[in-house]
Amino acid sequence: MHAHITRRLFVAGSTASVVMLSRAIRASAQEPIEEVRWALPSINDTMFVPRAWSTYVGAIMSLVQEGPLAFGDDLSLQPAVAESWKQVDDTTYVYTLRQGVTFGDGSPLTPDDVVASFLYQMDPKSGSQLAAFFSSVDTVTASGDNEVTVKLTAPNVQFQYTPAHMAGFLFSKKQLEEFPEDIGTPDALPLGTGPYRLVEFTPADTVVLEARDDYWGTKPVAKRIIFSAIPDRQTRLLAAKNGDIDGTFDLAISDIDQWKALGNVDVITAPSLGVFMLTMDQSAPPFDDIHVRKAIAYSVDREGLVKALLKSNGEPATALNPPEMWAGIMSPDEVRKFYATLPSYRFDLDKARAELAQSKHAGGFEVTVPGSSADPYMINILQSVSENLKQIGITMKVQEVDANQWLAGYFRHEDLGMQIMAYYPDFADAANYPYLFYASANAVKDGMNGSNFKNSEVDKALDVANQKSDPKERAEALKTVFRIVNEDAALVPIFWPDSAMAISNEYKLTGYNAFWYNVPWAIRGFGLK
Amino acid sequence: MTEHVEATQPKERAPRDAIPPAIVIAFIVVAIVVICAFFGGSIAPDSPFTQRLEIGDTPPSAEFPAGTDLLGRDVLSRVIHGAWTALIGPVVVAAGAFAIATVLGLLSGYLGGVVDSGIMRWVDFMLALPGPLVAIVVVGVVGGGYWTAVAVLIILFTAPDTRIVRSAVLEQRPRPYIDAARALGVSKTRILFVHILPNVLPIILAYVVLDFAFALVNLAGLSFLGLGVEPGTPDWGRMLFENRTILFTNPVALLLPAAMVILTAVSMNLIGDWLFARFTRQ
Repeated sequence: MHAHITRRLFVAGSTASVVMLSRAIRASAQEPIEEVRWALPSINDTMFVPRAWSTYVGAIMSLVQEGPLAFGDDLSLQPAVAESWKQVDDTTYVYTLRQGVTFGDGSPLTPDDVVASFLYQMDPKSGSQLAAFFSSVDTVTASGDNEVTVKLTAPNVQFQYTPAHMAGFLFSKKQLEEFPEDIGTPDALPLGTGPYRLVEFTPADTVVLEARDDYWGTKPVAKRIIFSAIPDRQTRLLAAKNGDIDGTFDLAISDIDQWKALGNVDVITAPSLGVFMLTMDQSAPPFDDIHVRKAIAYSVDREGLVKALLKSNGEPATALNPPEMWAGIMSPDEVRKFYATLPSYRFDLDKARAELAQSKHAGGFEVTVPGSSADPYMINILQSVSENLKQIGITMKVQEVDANQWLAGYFRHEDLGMQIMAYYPDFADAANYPYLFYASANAVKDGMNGSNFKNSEVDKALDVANQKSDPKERAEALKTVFRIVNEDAALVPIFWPDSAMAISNEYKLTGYNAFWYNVPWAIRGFGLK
Repeated sequence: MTEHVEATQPKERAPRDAIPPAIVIAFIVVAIVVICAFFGGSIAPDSPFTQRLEIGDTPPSAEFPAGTDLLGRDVLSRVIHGAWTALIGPVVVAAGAFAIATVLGLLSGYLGGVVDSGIMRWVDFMLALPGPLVAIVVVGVVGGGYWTAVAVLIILFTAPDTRIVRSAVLEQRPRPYIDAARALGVSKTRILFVHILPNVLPIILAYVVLDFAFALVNLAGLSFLGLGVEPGTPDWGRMLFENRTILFTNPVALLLPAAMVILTAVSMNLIGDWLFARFTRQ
């Protein structure tokens, strides 16, 4: 018997099949994933962000904790725990909290938790590495049943991003009071209001997160995420090849071709807005001598390093800010034109020798520079700089240390000498980097100003850039900053790299951006393909 | 009768005097390493430090027979210069360990009693430690890189070497020439260092060569873990570590230093075994 299929029936059947198929595909996309295994180059000794401000802690804890606000996929500010917020005047922000938000232990989030979290960051006794984000805050008060008011000592444009940043993560007031020392350790795992609950933590080794059914926002697709530390790049690559991990962040750009060649992973790239730099402590010899600093600046082959290490996936840095960081103030093209007017210290060993000859250290000197073994570029950059410096009479020893030791040494802010620093932005604001690395206020322990650069004119200009909301006014102020610091060779910018991640080709992740360590990436377009 | 003598004499001499081809090759390999270590600057086609960032890592070519590494440095030149750290560290470890072990072994084997007991318990303790792990922990905590690693290996290698020297001394102690020396009133120090030492020295020398091979592999391993030489130093272990990221673009940058570590270690092992067999037969 032959079935007789009319054209109308065929079309109807085909349409129904397509609809059913698309539904099935959509349904499968929503299917929960039992377990995701994610590798990071390192896992810190603590999961308490105020004591471990790092991108890898951020990549984990951004899934557990939230701030009042969040960064969207386009890096703009969006509501999170606060359903709305408003800037009442130049110095006052009011956040209205969402109803029904709970911590991982089921306890409700209250304005008191927000106040306690912010005050903890501000308290010098806490020793928070994120304290600088609150340096302009005067008071934080619970101004209603579901309202928190933050008053600043002076207008500060940058503060608007703090509630969306790791610095704005909300802690349980009760937990902060009960475990002031142990919070972040396996004995007192930090609670948060995020989509995941931190259930297991082996310091420097493993972290296990479990999805929360009672999360207020988008429900997580992955029920369980296991993070493991795999410092070695090739070991991570082999783990992905063998299917032992489902994804990882922070690929070395120079390894991208190897990752793509695996066949079972997708490589996703995005502008990182990051910057690599050398800081030089101006408070002590030999770097208190501008000629020494300029000699160092002329000895860095930025173009060469971009070609060799980044395979041209990045840009030689002529100033601290990547051009894209000026968004909202100047276009990247305008920024590049402006940068072209600044002293940029293009690689030139003859000029380096001439500068050193003018310094008090014409005979050269010896310096030891620590670099993180977890970072794919630092040790190679330092080797390259060391070889160039040797040719002008400066002996630079490269000390390879683990990531925790390197970062702790930088924040200790003692005998800094020369340091290498890789920094990825906290938010896309042109005043962010200059404030962190050039403001006198940050030339302290736990501060980022490793050059101990102090200049009253720069501080004043930074104040304007931080306080005024007019883009033109901010642009002029920041131009002043960059003219001074580049002329002074306050630090040596090296390059602005792209960023890349790898994910099993069974999965997708649409929300990858420069702030992968500051967004709940596992609920930003993550799921089965 | 005459024919018989002529026919048998070469057969008796052959095993004692002829050097097996494998040992000849081993000596050639070691000789090349020694020449590279001392005359690397003259032999290497380029400086091991010269960067060519504009080309970065490249596969072997006419200009660079072993290609270049990530910073564009000539891999062949770095391997040739790497012979220095491959040679000097293991030599110091082997010599240092056996210098200490010889004294301890002589005292332990000859004096016996409390001295023997004390030294051998220390040896037992050291042998119970996981050597490579101890080296990793000490170098990682103390720092100091290559020479700290060398110092740690000297201490670790001393224990088994002491046991070897002691057993050789125990074999010599009951011999008539020692009794004769004692009867003549020769001092213990003289008996130890003038009479016994020369008789155990061949065995010690054979083991020194084996120690070299072990030290070479251990130091290369520590450098691979980032605990040996300073970054940038041409060193075979360090090159294995640094160049593993360019395995796909220039595999020679990884395989050549690896081959040198293996070849040198195997060669020294063969030479050590051959020397040991030769000396014990004598």
